[in-house]
Amino acid sequence: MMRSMTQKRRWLLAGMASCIVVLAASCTDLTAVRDWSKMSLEATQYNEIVTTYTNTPERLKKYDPAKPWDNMIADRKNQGEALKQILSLVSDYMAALATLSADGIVDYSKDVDSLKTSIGNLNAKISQDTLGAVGSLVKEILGAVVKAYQAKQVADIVEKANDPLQVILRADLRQIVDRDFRSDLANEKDLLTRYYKSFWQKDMTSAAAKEALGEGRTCPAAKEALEEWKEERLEQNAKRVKALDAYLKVLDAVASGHQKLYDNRNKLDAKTLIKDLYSLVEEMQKQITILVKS
Amino acid sequence: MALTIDELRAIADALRKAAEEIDAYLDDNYQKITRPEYEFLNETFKELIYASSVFTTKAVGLVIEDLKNPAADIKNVIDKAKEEIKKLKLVGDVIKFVAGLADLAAGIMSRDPKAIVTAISNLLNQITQKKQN
Repeated sequence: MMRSMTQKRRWLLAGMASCIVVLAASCTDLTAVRDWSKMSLEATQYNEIVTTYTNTPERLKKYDPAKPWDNMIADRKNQGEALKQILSLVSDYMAALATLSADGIVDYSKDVDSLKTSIGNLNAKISQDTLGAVGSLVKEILGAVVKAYQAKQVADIVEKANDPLQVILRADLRQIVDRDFRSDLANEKDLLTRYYKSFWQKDMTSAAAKEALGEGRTCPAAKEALEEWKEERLEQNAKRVKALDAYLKVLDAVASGHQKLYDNRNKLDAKTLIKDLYSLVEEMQKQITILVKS
Repeated sequence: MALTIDELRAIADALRKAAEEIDAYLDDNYQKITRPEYEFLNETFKELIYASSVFTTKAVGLVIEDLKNPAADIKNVIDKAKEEIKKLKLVGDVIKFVAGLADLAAGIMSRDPKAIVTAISNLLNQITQKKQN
């Protein structure tokens, strides 16, 4: 009888182990999804690029104070707020995706422990070892069930968010950064270059003017200083363009990553997806470093 | 008829290109023209750059209008995700009341494989159904 009870226990444990293996196999590991979402969150929180755009009229005012820049300043301030709100929405979405894919989002260990205590109180003949084993098995099964549900919810929101996110990241927002912000910086570069050149060029117009002014009002030392300031301003402008290029790569990485999530939403721990997501995480880290330095 | 975003951008680019041509002309000819001529061209250059900036601002304004709909869609998804997160965090509370958990424990205790399989299947249904409520 003892032998058959031991045999029965072995079959039972084997059966339970199989159930857990089957459940575990159907569990989706969301680590890559979580890590990519967290990096995307960090990347999309950078909104200095918008501040650069909204502040451009203030900077250009120095080089051409006669123009009515104040109207533009007011318009751009409103635009800047609207753009930052949109970026903030994208960040919020990434934060929600990261949280939804996190380990330990559900903590039910206390409930299982209290259940064990209740069972123990009902049946004093049950050994502590058995109760412990039951508790562990129940936790494993619950874990598998919850993970499966979590993966389904992640797939669900990725599916709903993909279309509008691609419109924002690949189309509209990307165009604003690549076309309009870039155009703005090109205007700034042209205006500041002409500003510094005109100081000494205007005094060198025609031989008569040169003669009247005696080789021009601008002495060599002043010309050198002007040249230095011009170079400094051009360097700042070039840094802003570099930041713009880095930001475009960030937008592309976020859009591309989300598209891959969408395409693999029913198998969120597929090896190729994981590899692609981590490669995008590295790319974003690289571009964020450039953005922070600019 | 209102200008489209692409038209506004094309105008902004054309204005800047015109300014750049004047800039290049001044660089090549500032010593050959009179001071008034120089000032006139310099001012024209600045007008063109200013106008280009105005059209860029208008283009961005229109794109922001276009972004309203996809932004609203993303907001809806975020709200749904936050609801799901809340539900998952409440699973701990829900589990206390899920009858399937007690059945599962009972099945394990009884060492009855059929009862265990049934209990697991019921538990799965109960938890996912509770989430949808």
